Amino acid sequence: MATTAGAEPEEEIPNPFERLQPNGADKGNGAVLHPNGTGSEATDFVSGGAQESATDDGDTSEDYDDMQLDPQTMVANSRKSMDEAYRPAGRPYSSQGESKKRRESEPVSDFMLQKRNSIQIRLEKTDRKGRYVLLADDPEIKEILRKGIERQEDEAGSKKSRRRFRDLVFTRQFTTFDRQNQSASQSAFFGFFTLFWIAMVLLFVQVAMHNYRDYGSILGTNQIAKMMFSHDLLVLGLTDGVMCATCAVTMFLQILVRRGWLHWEKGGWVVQNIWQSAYLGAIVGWTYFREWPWTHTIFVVLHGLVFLMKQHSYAFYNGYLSGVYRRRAALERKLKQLEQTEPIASPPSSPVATRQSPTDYTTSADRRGSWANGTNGTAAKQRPSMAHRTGTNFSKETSNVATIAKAIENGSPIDADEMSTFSSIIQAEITDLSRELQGKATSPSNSYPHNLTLFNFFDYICMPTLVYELEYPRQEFINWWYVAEKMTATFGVLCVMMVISQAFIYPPVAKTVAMKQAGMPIDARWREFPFIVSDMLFPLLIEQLLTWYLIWECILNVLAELTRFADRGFYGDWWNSVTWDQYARDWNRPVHNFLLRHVYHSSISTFHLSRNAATFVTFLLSALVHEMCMAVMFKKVRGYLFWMQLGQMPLVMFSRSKLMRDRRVLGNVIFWVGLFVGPSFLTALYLVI
Amino acid sequence: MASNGNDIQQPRPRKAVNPQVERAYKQELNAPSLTIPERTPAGTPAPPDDAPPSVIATSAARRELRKKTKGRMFPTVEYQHRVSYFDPRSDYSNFRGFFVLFWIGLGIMATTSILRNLKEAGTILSFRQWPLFIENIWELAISDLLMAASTGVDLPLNKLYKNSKGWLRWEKGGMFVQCFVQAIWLYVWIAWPFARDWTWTAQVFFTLHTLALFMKMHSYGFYCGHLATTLQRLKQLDLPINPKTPTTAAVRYPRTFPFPETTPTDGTADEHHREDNSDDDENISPIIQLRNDLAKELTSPLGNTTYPHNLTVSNFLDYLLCPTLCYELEYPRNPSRNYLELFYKTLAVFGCIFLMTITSEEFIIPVLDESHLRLQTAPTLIDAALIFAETVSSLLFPFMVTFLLVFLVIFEYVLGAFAEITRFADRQFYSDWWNSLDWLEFSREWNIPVHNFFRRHVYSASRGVKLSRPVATGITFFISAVAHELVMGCITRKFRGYGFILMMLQMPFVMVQRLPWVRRRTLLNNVLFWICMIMGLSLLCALYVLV
Repeated sequence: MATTAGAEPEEEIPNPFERLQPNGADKGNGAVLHPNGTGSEATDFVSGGAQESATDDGDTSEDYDDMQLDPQTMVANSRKSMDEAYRPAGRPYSSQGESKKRRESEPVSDFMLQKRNSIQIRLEKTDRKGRYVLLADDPEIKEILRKGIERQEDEAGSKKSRRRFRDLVFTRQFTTFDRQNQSASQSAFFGFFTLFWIAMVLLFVQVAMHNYRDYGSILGTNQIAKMMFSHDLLVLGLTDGVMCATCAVTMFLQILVRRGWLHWEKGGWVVQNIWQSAYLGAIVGWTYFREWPWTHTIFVVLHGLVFLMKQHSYAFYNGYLSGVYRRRAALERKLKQLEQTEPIASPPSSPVATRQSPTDYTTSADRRGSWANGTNGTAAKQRPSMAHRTGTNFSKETSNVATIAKAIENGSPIDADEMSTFSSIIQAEITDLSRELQGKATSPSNSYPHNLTLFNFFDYICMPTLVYELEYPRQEFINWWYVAEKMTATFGVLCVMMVISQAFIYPPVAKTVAMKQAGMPIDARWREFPFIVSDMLFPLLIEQLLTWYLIWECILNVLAELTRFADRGFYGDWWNSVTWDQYARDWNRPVHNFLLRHVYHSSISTFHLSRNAATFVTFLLSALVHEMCMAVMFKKVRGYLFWMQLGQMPLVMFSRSKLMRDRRVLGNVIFWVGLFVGPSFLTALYLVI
Repeated sequence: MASNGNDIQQPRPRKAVNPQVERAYKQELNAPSLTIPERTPAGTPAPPDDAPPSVIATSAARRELRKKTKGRMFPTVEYQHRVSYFDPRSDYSNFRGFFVLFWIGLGIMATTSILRNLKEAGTILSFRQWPLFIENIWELAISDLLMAASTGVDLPLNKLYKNSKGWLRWEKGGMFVQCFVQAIWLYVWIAWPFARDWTWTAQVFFTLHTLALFMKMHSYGFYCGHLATTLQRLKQLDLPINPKTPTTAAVRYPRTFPFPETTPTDGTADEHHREDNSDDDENISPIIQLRNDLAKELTSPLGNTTYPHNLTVSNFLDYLLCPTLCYELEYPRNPSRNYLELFYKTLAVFGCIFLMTITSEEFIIPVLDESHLRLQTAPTLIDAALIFAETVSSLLFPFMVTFLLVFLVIFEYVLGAFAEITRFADRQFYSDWWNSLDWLEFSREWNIPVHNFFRRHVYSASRGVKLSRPVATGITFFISAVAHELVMGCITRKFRGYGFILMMLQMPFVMVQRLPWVRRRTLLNNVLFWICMIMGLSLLCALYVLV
């Protein structure tokens, strides 16, 4: 590249070229390659306004249907990839139509793929003596510069579009029914909440009184408790402990990956998947082998699934980070190599390839605009994607960094200016990768390779979340009174559930079993079917509500309090759901988050599925897992739940149709009828047939 | 206050500030710079623009409260455009799903019992109570119409009070005539179902309707009577003023400001003098001021009607249909009727009655029948007590459901339907009583029309004759308890006083709950409230039926 002659060369040099000066390097620091890569995420989750960010989250993270997807996304939605893979379509650029003619004279994209070793530069005399205008025609440089400018403009102008999608923002919030939640305890319908619990207690007392009169004990004949506590309780506890401990295998796999003994993208994820399958298989097999009652089985299987999801998230996130880490190391090597290279003297002798009218270089602002707009059409499409985040093989890449790396590799002659440009670009990329490695951690000491410790892993295992992040918002201290209160609530709810199932669910179930044992023909049993369903409607609804309350309000809150986990968004207001997909999103937020990140978006990025197909895959997986739970509970595979769950998809489409869109109350009614009738219908189906 | 765009008042959040004060406060905050330092009614200068919010708020509250108190002689009820909690337009939709669940639960309960009936009896539903409903239906309808028509006696009576110059004037004999007529009216219509020996369902409807119409009559008679006096006073001021003309102030002002008490000058009352001080422009003569006040009293709150013009048949009929028990010259109205909403509400009324019938048919009557038999054969008192306790416990849930249904059917649907018919805009028929902390709060919140009536015509009236607050509250409670006992007696034909005793027991209970350290435990108080509510209803029913 040419140097300029004269006393004050910088003054007249066109503005974009300032970036070529060494001191301009830190301006282009963030992400030359990722025009809107640097975001406000780091500040997002430390901000304390729980309520505000909660609603914000609701607006953004659920909004993925309107997003335009970048199909090249490699690893599903680590926070950065989400940020870039999903952006609103048609983001406006500043000064759009300013210089169309210029674009025609710059067929940049065609040149992008060609390898150029020398850059053509011309010097133009200005009317003042000793001052020159430096012009470079090299499309690569132009492209790089253009991106730098674009990025700057993006940062200035499009904060909003960047915030459109944020992957999983963890904030400080409380659950809806929590006593600590101000807005809930001040709610206008607080009294009905009290009424519900009083009704539960009275129900308990009523049943207990009847049992005492009839059987002499408040628990009655108590088959369910006997079944739960008589058999293999110690083995159950041991199994659970072993399940928890063997999770560490995933962590050791990640340590292997980190040490480089296992390459995540080549073999690591296969090993991980094999391990996960084996893990699940072992659990299910073990329950069959021990011939456990269904209560033991379902507990172990569900807990095992939770561990499985945790391991999956941990492994895939860390595996992805390992790729980023390797790339950063490779780039650092390249940078060192670059520094060792001797710059060649720069001959300003290259012939001028294309003459451009000097009027294009009249003012700096105009130039900036034209630089930014020159390749606008191609720029939006060629956004560097996650594929470049983890790759270490630069010869196959087409990004700028890769081009530079190739240039370094080939030992092609580089002059001093080029060198500073290259090093600043590589620096920028390295900074960007480092930020990726730091993830949501607030300090670099928690960033990627440092998090692979046993403490961090088991901390994560204990936390009530299924999505691994390097750091979560934490509380300052543990409120032991709160823990005690929730523990009491847990056991109280368990007692109520036990009594209800003993008093109201056990009799019809026992009836069906007796019917089968008496050898009743199928049509006679079928005639009994509606009455069994109707007998179980109310108790099963109450059981369902209580189970939900027990897990998502009591147990998860206890866990969160013990681990000082501050984000209590375990559920949304699913009771107001209008469609089934809304319910699926809201009633179980941890699993929803897991599915969204590791199934929905992964399937889109790795298998290049369409959105609808990805939704279908997610539903299918969820339905399969549910059916598996039913299978281990009833020891038979009938697929009723499976088909009913898949049947929700057309229902969702129906509820999105024009006919249903504005009928919120009707939608809610349909939802509740389904939720009301569903469980007892299913149970009766599995029992009777 | 939350408002959803078009200025409809939402039901208040749990603990709200006085809406008027808040509105005034907002005005004060929004347009402080427009007002040049004027003299507020109290004679204190308006706070400067940069005054701290506390000062502004105090000033606003002061002015607003004065304005309000000054507004009317007769205690007023503030009617405004409002929606109820369960209205679809209400802002409180964060738990609406559970409301839907409640209805679906009831619907499924009905379906289940139909199924069971089909299986056992082969018919869809066997209403054993059905004869109860239809037995006196025509007689009931005719009597009801007659009763409603007979309230019309108020109208000629009030014209009489207005026009009379002699002993029939309201403050002389008119009031007694009115009381006498009302007493006879009440006696006749309460005794009528007993004389005709109606079924209890017909009787409970009729008695409740009698009481409602009685309250309407009372409110109409006494408010219009008061206005008749006011009109006469206003007309007297047109004549040359002599010492006999009553010039006592029309409005009583609160003694909130430590003004130096100057001696009354020309024989006017103490209050009159204060009025001088506190008026907007102080150089108005007392007579003009008095005339203004009286004229204001005769005009409706919205300013569209004045007193004697309201004594028409159409106005009275409209008042009878309006879902309120307090007569006002004018109510805020909606611009149009929503017939779809009316249809839904009517449907909901019948749906609720259907559900209540099923509940009582399935869960209440069998239990009561069985316990009745067992009680007759119970050998010892302890056995009887146990059977009684068991009955109470098994009636808990049906009664809770019935109670909630009765609440909904009356306060959300029947009153809502009538409000829709008359385009009555103030739908605040209940407040959030389910969050109540004590019984006083509950009695204030769960039945706002009756609460307003009691506050206006019983409590304030007793306060008017110089009774202390607790005594006035006690009297209010007493009358309410008597009315409830009357209803219970009409249903069961037994006047045992259980309901009366339980209601009066609430008074000491409230006093305990008002102790500071009990008062703070809001959750505990709410729990206690609900337990008492559920237990109380079931206990009352068991007591009246079985004992």
